[in-house]
Amino acid sequence: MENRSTYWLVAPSALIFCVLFIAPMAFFVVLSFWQVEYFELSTEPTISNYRDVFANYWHVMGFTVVVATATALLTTALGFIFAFLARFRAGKWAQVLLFIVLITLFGGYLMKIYAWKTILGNEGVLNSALMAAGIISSPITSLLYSPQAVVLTLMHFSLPFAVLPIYASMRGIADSEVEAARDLGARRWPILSTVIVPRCQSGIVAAFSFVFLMVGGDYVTPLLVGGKLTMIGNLIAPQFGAQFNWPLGAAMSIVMLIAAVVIIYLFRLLIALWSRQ
Amino acid sequence: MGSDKSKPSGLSLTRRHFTQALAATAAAAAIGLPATRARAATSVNFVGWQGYDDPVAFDDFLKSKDITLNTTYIGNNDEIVAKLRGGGIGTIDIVTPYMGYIPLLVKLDLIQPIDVSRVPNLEKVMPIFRNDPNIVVDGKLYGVPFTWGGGPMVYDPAVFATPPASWKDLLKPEFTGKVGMMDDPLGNMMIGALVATGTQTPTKINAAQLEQTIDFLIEMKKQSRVVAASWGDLSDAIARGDVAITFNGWETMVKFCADKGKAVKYAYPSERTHAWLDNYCIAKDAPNLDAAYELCNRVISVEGQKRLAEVAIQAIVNADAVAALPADIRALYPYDDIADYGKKASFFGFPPVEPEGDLTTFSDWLKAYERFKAA
Repeated sequence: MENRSTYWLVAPSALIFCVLFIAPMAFFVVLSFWQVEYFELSTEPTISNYRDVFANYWHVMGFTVVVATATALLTTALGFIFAFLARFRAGKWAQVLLFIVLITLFGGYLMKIYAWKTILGNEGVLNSALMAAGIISSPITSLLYSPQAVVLTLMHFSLPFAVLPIYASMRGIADSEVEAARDLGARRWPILSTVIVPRCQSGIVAAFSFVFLMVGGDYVTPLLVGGKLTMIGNLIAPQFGAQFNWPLGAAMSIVMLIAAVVIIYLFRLLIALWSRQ
Repeated sequence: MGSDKSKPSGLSLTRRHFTQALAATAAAAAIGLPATRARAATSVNFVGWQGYDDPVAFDDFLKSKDITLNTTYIGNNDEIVAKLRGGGIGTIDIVTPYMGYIPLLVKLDLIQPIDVSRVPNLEKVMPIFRNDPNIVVDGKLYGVPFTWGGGPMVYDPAVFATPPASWKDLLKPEFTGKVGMMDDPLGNMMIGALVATGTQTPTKINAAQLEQTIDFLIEMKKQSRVVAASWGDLSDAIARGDVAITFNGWETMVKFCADKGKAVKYAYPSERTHAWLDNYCIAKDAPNLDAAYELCNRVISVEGQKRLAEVAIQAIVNADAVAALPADIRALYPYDDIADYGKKASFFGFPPVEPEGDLTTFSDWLKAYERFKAA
């Protein structure tokens, strides 16, 4: 009886999940095997969209995976350091540090992008300061419109999404656990690698996943600070607009989703292996 | 997607069916139907670019005619086709397509001919615009042209005192990393075809010419520092000194850059460039025909045109309104030698929508442009 009532309680959220997530995803999978000819959609099954993705867009897909992985790794590492400081070093200032992290979310996505354009441009804050200090004689043009500008901007945007889950899992680590390790002779690095990382691996994996998925699907940042860089999102978005090729857009999305699942799984495996050491 | 490939069999859904199946309610809401319809006044449904409603709505004109305007803004011209085919016939009154789309809209039976006797201000529209062949189909006028522009080369005179004579010159080493491109598929490909193939009709090219065009654009992309997402972003890049010259542009960028404190100029290279002409068109079965004609006439009136030129900094078509513009606004566009504008920029038609001999279709163009994007 108790089990039955549990099912009823879960039913509304399960229904919402099915309608808003499972059904659209299933539709996307089906759609990816359809095709468009002269702006008309045909349901005749084909694998041509997938062939197209692997023949013509594999390098864009690869570049996107590289940028997303680099951003996710760097952001997770930075988020870990920040969360560590807030949990184990900041004492009563921990809440202030977390508030600072949260407040950056209020800045708005586009505002952050334009802020970095202002900082990294030829006549931007950084180049102007370096030139005024006599460190460089002409602007460093590679600061903006480059892969590093994309990674930097995305790190800024996604850092709170890395800090929060890691901090949440670190709160589950009792001070006594760290003290016990120290009493047993462990120094800083062994404590970090054998106590703290294994105890907050779920938070680390969640942080990596959040960041990877956000970056992998982003198309605004490369458009505005990447110069002529193209990520897969820049090719997917027009398929659902001016190009009117939803099947190809769906195939690109599915392939990217599979790539994301594989990368996240590998990262999870890596962290699990680390924790078993 | 070759031109000789037959259409696949099986259940074929048009964009209309597709949209209806997925978002019927949203589509109805998007075209601003019952929920926003006014009760007393004549309620005109307008689907067009943001700001294109302003010349008819900025003063008491609508009130004096007892008209209310329900506006739905578009993000690209395709949305006009989508909304008209997605249930808009019989509810939408006015759409504002680029002239290249008019033959397509006529072919799809989505707009109706203009009764010129009901748009007396057309007489004041300069002939180069009024007689544009794209807006006349089978001898009938289908659009009221009201604003235009071209794709010149915009440059920073502090960096390059004299602009290069040819688009091809931008591939020279002295321009490496100083070129800014715009992510404008049709505009880029029209200029690319003019330059790479030597054709005089860049929207009528075969598959080999299309390849040449994309190869040229990819070369230009390698030479460029940025492929901007919008004219505002391209202006921003040149105003910040991130680029100094553009492949494809818009005359209005002079104003955008001036507002950011950068004086730029524009030039029309020897191969010419593309130009566009936007129109008020009346949808088929428009429910408020009289009001729609009032708006068509108003948008090309001296008052409406001055408003468009002075506030939106758009180029205008009414000769009397041009004469009444302040000198600084008038100087933004080549009004003084407008009769020769065709030697610098042309209102090229649209690529074929369906196969025509060995000509590439618009679908082929979009597909080919993906190669440029992915490069």
